[in-house]
Amino acid sequence: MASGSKKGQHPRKRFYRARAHSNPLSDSQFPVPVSPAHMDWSDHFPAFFKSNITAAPGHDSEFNFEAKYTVKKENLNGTCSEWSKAKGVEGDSKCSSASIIDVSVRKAEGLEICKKIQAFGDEEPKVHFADIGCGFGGLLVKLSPMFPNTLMVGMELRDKVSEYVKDRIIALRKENPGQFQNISIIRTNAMKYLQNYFQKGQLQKMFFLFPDPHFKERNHRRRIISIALLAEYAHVMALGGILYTVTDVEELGEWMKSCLEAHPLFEEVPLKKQEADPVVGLLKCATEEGQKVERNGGKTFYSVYCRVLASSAGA
Amino acid sequence: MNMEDDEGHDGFAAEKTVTPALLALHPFSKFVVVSVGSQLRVFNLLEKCAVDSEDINSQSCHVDAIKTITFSKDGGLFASAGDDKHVKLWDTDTWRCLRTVVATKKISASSFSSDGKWLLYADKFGVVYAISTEYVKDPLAGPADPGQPVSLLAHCCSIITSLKCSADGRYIITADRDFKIRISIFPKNPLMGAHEIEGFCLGHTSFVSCVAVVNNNLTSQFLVSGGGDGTVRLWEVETATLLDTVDVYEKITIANSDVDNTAVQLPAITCIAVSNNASLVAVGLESLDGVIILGLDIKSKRLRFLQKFLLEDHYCPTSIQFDRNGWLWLVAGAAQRTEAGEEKATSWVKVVSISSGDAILLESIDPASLPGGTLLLEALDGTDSDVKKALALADAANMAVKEQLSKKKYTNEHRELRKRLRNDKKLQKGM
Repeated sequence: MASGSKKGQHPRKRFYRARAHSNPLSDSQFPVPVSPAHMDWSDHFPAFFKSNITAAPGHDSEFNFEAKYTVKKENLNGTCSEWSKAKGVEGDSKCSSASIIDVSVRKAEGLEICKKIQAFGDEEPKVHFADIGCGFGGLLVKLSPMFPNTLMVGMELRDKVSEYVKDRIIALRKENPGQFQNISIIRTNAMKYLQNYFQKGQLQKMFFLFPDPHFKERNHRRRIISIALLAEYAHVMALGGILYTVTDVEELGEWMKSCLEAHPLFEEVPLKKQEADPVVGLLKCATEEGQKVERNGGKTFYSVYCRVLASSAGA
Repeated sequence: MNMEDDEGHDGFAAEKTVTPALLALHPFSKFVVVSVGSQLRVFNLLEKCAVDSEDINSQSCHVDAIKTITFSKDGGLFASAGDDKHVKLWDTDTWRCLRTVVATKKISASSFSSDGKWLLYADKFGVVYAISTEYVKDPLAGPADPGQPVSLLAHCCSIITSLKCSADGRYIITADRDFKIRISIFPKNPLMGAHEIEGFCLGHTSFVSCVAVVNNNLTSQFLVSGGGDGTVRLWEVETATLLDTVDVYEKITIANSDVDNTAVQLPAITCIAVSNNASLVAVGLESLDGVIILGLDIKSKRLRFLQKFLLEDHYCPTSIQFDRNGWLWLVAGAAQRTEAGEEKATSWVKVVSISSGDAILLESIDPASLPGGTLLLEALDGTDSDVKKALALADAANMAVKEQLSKKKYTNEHRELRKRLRNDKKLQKGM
C-alpha cells in the first residue's frame, strides 16, 4: 500500500483519508503480542534500546561481554521463530549495569526460560504514558518534548490513521535529530488487547481524548470508558497514576465522570492539582479534534482521576 | 438473524445448533448429571436409581441447549443454564428447581462461589453476573424480592468459555475467546461488583477452551487450562505466572488430521479435569478417540505428558471429571436441533480408572461394577442408544464450538472485495 508521504517528509492527511469509525468489536487482522514480556519495544524506540544492535568490542558500555542472545520477532502464533546464540556469556557479576528481561519461549520439551541481556543502565526502558485512540498523534507530539525521557505510545484502531502517525513521527525524528525518539504508535484494539502490551502497574498516565460517543444506548457497551473497562485500566496503571479524559459531548462527559466516580480504584484529582498539572492544559488544544472543537466554539468536559487503592470503607 | 447477537462475530450466524454433552459429578459422589441439549439426566449413585423429579422432566425445564452445569462445593445446590437464557438453581435433595433467573443473553459458563453463597454465570458477551443463593432453599426467611443478578465484571465483548472460583474463595477465574485468563479478586460484597484484577494469565496463542482449578491445601492456588492452540498450561493464580506448558498436539500424532493450507488449524483441547489428589490431569483433544493423561507435580510446579489412551473408535469425549475415588468419568455426545425444531440428543458415558505407579494404566470400568450398573448408563445415555450417532454428533459438536471460538480468517482477496463494497470507498475517485 503506497504511503502518502515520500520517505521522511511530513505526511499529508488527504492521502490517509479514513472513516471516522472503526468497529472495536470485530476480529483483528493485526499482530498482537502474546504477553507484555513478548512485546519488543526496541523497534519503536531504537534510541532507548541501543543494545539490540550487536555491540562492537569497545562499545561504550561499562562492561565487556562477548555474546548476546538475539530475539527474533514473534510471529502471529506467539512463538519465537529462532534463537541465535553466540559464544558463552560472561558471569552476571561482571554485568553490573545490565538488566535482564525474561522472555518465555516455547520449545519441544516444554517451556524454557531464555534470557535477553541488555546493555542499558539498570532499568529496562518502559512505556509510561499511553494515549488511547490517539487519532492523528497531536497529543503525543506535544507531550514528547515535555517529558523527553519518558516513553509514550499511542494506540489507534484505524489502519490509515495509525499509518499517518507513524509517518509523522518518522518525519519529525528526521527533521529534529535527537527529538521525538520517545513517542511511537501501535495499531491495535486497546479495548481488547491493552493487557497484552502493558504489565500490571506500568502506566503513569492514560489519555482518552474525545472518544467516540456511541450515542445509541445499545452501543454504550462500545464506549472506551465503562465500569468494566476501568478495572482493566486500573490494573495497568501504577498507584498514583493519572487518567485524563475530555470530550465535547456533554452526555458522554457525564457518563465518563459517573463511571470514574463509581469505580473504587479511581479518585478525582482535586482542582488545585489539576490546575498545577501542565498536561491538563494540553487536553483541550493539543489534538486535531480539540482544535476543531475550539474553532467551533464548543464546550469541553474533563475528568482527571488518580489511580488509588480501594478504601476499606465501601465495597 | 439478530444482528445484536452476532456483532463482533462478523455476521456469522451462530446457527450451528450442535451442543456437546456435559457431565457433572456431585462432590461427594451422590449424583451424576449429564446434560445433552435441553435435557438434564440425573442419576442417584447412592440409591442407584434415576432421578425423575417433576421439574426435570417438565416442559418448563430448559427449552434450549444447556451450556453449563455445576454443583456447589458442598453439593447442596446445582445450577444449569444455556441458550434459553434461563439460569436454574436446583435443590439436590429434592431435585426441585428452586429459582429460575431470566438473563438477557445466552449463558456460556457458571460456577458457585467457594462458600456456596453466590452463583456466578457468564454470558456470551463476556459479562459475569452474580446471584445470591442465601435464601434460595428457604425463601420465606429472606426478603420478599430475592434480588436481581448483579453485574460483577466483564471481558470486553469476548465469549467467556470458562468460569471458576478458586478453592480458597479469593479469586474469580474467567477464560475467554481472546486467549486470556483473567484473575479477579472476589469482592467482599459482590453486590458492588468485582473491580479489582489480580492478574492476567497470558500465554495461550488461541482461544482458551477450558480451565480447571487444582485442589490443594497449600496457600498457593494453581490452575490448569487447555486451549485452541493444542496446549495445556499450568498457572500460579496469585501471580498469574505461567509455570509450565505441555504441547499436547506435538506429543501425539493424529492419523486423520486435516491440515488446511491457508491456516494450520491445530486441534483444540476440548475438556480438562484434575484429579482430587492433584497428581493427574486428563484432557480431551479434538479428533482424538480417547483421552490424554498428564502428570501434575505441584511442589516442583511442573506438568508433563504421560500417555495417550485410545478408547472406542470415534469416542471423543466432550466432558470429563474425576470423582473422589480417582475414577475418571467421561461423556461423548451431543444434541442437534433439526430445522423442524426437533432435538436429537445422544450421549455415551464411560468410566475409567487410572492408576499411576511405575506406569500409567487406564482400565475401563465394566458397567456392572458401576453403582447402578446398566440402570445408570440407561438413565444417562437415554433410550436412543445409537452409539455411532452419538459419537458422530460429538465430533460435530466439538468442531462447532471451535468454529465459534476461532478468529475468522479471511483471505486478502476477500478483504479487498469487502473494502471495495464499502460506501466511503465508492465515493473516492482516482485516489
